[in-house]
Amino acid sequence: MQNIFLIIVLFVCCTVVQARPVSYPQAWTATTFNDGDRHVFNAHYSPTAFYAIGYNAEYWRDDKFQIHALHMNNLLKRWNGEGSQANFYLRTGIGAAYSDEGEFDDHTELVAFTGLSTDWETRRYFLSYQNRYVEAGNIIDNFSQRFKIGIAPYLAEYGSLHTWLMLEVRHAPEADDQLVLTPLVRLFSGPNLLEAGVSDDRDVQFNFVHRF
Amino acid sequence: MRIIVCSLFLTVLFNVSAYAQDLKNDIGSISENENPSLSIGIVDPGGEIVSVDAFGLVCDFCATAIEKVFMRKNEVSGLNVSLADHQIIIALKNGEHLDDAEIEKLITDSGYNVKSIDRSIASN
Repeated sequence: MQNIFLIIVLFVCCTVVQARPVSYPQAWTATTFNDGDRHVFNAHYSPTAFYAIGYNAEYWRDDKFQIHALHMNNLLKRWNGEGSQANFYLRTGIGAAYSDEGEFDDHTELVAFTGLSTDWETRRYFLSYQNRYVEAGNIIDNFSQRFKIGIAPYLAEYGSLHTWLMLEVRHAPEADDQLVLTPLVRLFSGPNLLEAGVSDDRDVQFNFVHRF
Repeated sequence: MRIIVCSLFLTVLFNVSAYAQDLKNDIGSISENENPSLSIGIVDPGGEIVSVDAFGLVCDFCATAIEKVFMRKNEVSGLNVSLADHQIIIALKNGEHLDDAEIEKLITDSGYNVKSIDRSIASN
């Protein structure tokens, strides 16, 4: 089971880039996210531009457990300016967590997670904050939050390659390393977004998003 | 170590930003005597050209959303989104029409807002 999940994750690449968790009407989005804590694969469908529903799969590397959940992302509020945009999202999910490690070997629990995220961006600057609380019985009870700042060194038009230099600060009160800094490079063109970086813990972060 | 990494990154980030030259791209610009260039589709000769100034267009995901939503419409022959000008150029098929209310609804339903709609541009 674990191997199958890992293969799926590696196939798609690897972390959930949390930017823009809702797409345009009738659009699909596939996302992978990998960092020092977990590998995530996420696929969702947006019936409208204001909410998305989908499947979220995670593998937590150190604690060796998986999450498989249905999730919903809601765009609670968007502020559109002339050359700027700000968003406020609610994200929730419910599913099953499965552990095959230590005292929780072959143990399955109901898992639920929720979090808020907000972002503001222009073509030049980017700011985002998100938090997330995950609970799955005895397997996990975790709160984390991420703050990201970015700047585009040059401005490109639609369809050209957009490059962003970003810094992410991750805070997880229950983690061994509570504060982790990750400089990232974001490459963005059309429906594809890729982020890569190395944290001060020397963990690689690799994120990829594609919209259909 | 973290402070050093953070300081170095921010130094590089702001220096690159300060010295980098902005890339300007003229896709979507319109002169009086020529048809607009489009990122997708074609200008149908005799078809109406509609220019929309919009709020909230900041990235390629925004432009992709507008492109996908409008290209689903049978009336539309081509489109261009300019992030620099916050402008959407909609080329309609000859004999077809999209009224302002419908254009505004498509843009609003995509998550963006309309500032103004200009129908004074004629295709050649």
